[in-house]
Amino acid sequence: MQAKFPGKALPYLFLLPTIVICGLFIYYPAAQTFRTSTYQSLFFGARQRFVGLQNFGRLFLSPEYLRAMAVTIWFAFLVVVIGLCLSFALATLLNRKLQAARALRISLIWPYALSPAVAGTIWLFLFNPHSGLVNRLIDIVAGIKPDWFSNGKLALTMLIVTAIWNNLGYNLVFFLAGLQNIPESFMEAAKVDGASFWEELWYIVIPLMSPTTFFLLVININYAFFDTVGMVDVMTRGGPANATNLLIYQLYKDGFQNFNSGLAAAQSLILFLFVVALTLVQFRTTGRMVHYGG
Amino acid sequence: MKRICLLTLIVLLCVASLASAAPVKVTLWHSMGGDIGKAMESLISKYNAEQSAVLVEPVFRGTYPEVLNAAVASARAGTAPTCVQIYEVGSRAAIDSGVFVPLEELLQPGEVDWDDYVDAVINYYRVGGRQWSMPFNSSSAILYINADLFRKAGLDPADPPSTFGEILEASKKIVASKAAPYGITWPLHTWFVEQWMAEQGAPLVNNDNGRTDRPTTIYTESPEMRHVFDWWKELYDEKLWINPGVEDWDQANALFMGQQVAMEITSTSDVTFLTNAGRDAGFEVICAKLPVPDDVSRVGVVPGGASIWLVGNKPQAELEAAKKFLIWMSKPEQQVVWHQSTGYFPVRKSAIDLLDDEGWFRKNPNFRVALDQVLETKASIGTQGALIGRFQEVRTILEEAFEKVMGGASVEAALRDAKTRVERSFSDYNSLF
Repeated sequence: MQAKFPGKALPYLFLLPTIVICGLFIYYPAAQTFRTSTYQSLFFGARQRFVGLQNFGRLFLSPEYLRAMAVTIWFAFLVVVIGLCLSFALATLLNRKLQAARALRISLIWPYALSPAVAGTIWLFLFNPHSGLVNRLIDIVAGIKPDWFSNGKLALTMLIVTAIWNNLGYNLVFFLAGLQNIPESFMEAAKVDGASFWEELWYIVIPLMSPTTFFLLVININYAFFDTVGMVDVMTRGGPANATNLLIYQLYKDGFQNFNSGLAAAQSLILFLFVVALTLVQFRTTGRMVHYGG
Repeated sequence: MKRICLLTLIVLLCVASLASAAPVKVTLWHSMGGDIGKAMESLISKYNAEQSAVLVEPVFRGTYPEVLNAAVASARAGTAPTCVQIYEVGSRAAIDSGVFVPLEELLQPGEVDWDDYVDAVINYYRVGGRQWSMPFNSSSAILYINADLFRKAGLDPADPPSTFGEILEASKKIVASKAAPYGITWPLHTWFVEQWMAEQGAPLVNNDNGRTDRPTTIYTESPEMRHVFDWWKELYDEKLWINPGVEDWDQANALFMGQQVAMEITSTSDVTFLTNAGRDAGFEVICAKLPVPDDVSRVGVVPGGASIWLVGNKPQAELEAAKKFLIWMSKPEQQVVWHQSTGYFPVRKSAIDLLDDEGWFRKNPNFRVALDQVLETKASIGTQGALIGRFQEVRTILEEAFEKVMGGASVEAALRDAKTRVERSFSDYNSLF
């Protein structure tokens, strides 16, 4: 049965709030960002001069910016891949009939309730080279106390661990929900056919979980690219020697510390286009493998 | 009838008291967090309690750059506060934003006795011959010594190292005697480089340190800058200086309090905090002047900290009220309280006299050191401090230069690269005017 609106204007009237809100908070700022990116400016336009594409030229010719791009891609890749694998594994374990499963679930989902800045602060203490828990354990096991803040690779590792931990809860919730939606009959049928745990996983669980996984993939990439700025600011401020200078942090520095909003707007556009392109590629490739059932 | 009369009287009284008690509201955005923030707010509540014409509402708005950004953005939206605390290196950007009105324009002749303000501070905040803002919290960099570790290493805390060479020597002894794992620390921050340039009487940038015109280049290739970087590299290479992280004041303090180092160079605004922290942890903290390059006679330091600015586009009554409040805040009595509760040095000479009379410095010699260094500062282009629009970018570039040095680059190459980047930042900025 299909309901019909009386009159042509009514549907648009219903859409109006969404259009107004999207226009005010998404399209208008986006247009402004585009405009600002073509200006050399001080304090969001307290003073400005049209420079065309100069800001983009500055960025693509800057070795620091290109390096930040490489660091970000590597960081995002590791955070997404390790984060998803780990949370999937944990979700499969948690989905079994365990004692204290509820308590375990809650404690694993908990980190998501913390903002990236708070997560950063917690891990900052844990990774403290002299008094942190991490080095205490490493010292007992291996007899060394690595300096997580002076070595670029270690600092990036530390940031990746924190980023994965912080988003683990979110991924877990979705994976768990997905797992619990797999019809019991499929699993019973598999058991009757004598499938092992790994076979069940490979032929039933993973295909049925593909929509969830795909959704989480897109969300996690966005998380790694955009939500980690607070973490970086608290933990490393992009250092040492820019080893953890993510694109979003460079944007923050240029926009809010150097009062260079034109350059920051250009970076914001680059980031935006980058993530859009990445998402489109995923829909074309990984997206085709997703099985939505029905 | 009687009742009506009484009622009218009550209403009239209420209206009258309201009219006389309606104070002018003044908002102040500031960056003073933690204990220092509490000290600031208690000063302000004292002002609010003392008089009823002005009601000051302080709002903590995050770090210095955040406050400046938020203030300029809100001024463009018409929702700016009346006064804004702006850090010293934000002065050029604040003037260029066009949002603020020079304090001097609101003052009657003789309303503020600028001669009573500490010379180094006035030299810094006077731009283009005009007093733009009210100096409030000023600091400089000094050396903090863990006297117990010094004794353990066979050093005399009463005769603290005063030159780069002596710092090297002392650090070697500290490490060799295993008194502490490292000799010294300070935040990886360009502020210290700026201080060492000033101590050598050298400007950081051209056009008289940006005082006669906006700068176009930075003196990273000067012998003075090389001197600082070479010494710093030597300390790092020999594992005598430990890196607490870029602009990480808290971590540097943590290393000092955790006795991982026997010396720390940091702001005078931590005198109270570190002296108490040392006492709590069972060691004595002694302050000494900022060490300077060998064979250089001390020229002086650049006052760090912040001053308070007035937003231009405001009703006259509000600006007048804000002005009264700022004058009150920089009065000797308030400066004494502020100094004693934080360590920021008083910006008024008469406040220093008050403290002297009270015997404060005899009881607290650590505070005296911080102050002497500022009072002895000789007026010069170097100690006046640089004016740079995007100062934070310059700081970041120099910090990255030192990080490259730690990563194995030569001082010469790192500084040459820094110069190119700073010059590009300057030319972009200057193209706006």
